[in-house]
Amino acid sequence: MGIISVDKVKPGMVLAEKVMTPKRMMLLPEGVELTAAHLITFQTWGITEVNIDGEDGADADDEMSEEERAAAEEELRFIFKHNDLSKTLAKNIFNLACKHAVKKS
Amino acid sequence: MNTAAKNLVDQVKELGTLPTVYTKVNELVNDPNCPASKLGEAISNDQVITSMILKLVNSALYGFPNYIDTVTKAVTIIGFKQTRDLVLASSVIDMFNNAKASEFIDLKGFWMHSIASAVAAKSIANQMSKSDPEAMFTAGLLHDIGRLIILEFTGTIPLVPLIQKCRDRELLVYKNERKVFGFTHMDVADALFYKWNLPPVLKEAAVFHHSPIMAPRFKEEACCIHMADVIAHALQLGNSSDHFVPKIREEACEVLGIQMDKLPIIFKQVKSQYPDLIKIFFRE
Repeated sequence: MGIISVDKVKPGMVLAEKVMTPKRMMLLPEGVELTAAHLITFQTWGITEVNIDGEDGADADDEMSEEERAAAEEELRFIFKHNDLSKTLAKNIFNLACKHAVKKS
Repeated sequence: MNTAAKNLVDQVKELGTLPTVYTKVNELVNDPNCPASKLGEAISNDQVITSMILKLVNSALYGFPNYIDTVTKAVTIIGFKQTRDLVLASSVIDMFNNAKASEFIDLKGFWMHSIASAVAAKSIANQMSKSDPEAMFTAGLLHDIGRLIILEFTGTIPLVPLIQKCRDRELLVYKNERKVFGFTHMDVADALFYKWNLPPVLKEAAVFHHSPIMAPRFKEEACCIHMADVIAHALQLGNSSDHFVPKIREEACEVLGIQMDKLPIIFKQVKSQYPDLIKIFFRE
């Protein structure tokens, strides 16, 4: 699953998660196969992103080489030094930080 | 309340009162018969706040399909209390906007960390059933305000040397503040929020963001700001003055009722909304 911008959503894609309006009214439940009409509904309700089954939500522009990723992970290990990375929440946050690490300019 | 922190806040003239527009808006929000147009009118008297509110409601934070061109429309769409919280956020940003950076104080980095925390807090609140996303956005923005006050308005408190020492010795600044100054940046926030008579939920969320389980009434909100602060650090967005990710409280997720599979959504939202908010706040 992955969150993608509504302008990249195509009919036939399946929601991995329910869609809520900004006022937190439920618009569509998870598992719905999207149609062209749904895409118009998203625009009407101001939905900008949805969670789609089978899509990888990672940013393409954040792609790094293995070396760059290893360097980013090492730096993150250092800034996480006051946390025990065997604990569930700390480990999850660390892994996401690694996934979203960007190239240092 | 910590007396030294209270004295510090009382000494700073610039922190005397919040702008009149916030006080007026707060009064109107508490009046059940107040129409949206009256609230919109009160806010429109302050052009800086009006412009900030319109930019916020038209930003990626909300993603409304049509441009919202008046504050009254914004009030109708996002709600009374929610607008009040955005007025508070805008007022405080405006208040500190003229603050000058020095070679030791990375003001832009400070606000970038605050904005990232605000965006993360709103995203976390959106995943929860109880917390109000706008209140959490404002609490996220203000959670480190105590540190800004120490840096900006006091020449005598050695925060800059402490930041440098902690970086060199790989320590957490917030855990050493009390030992060195006799109070923490949370104590300063406590005194400031009391002075400004801000809602208790905002106060607790900021004051307990490093020890959310200790919050007496608003544990969920304190956990929300704790997580938001951690996420902003983990994504290395901005500079809170602490070089290291604060100690993560494992209980926070349980208190918030957030499953681990929601975390990727929150990270993704922060990354996608943050650049837009940076443009608004820094008028880039």
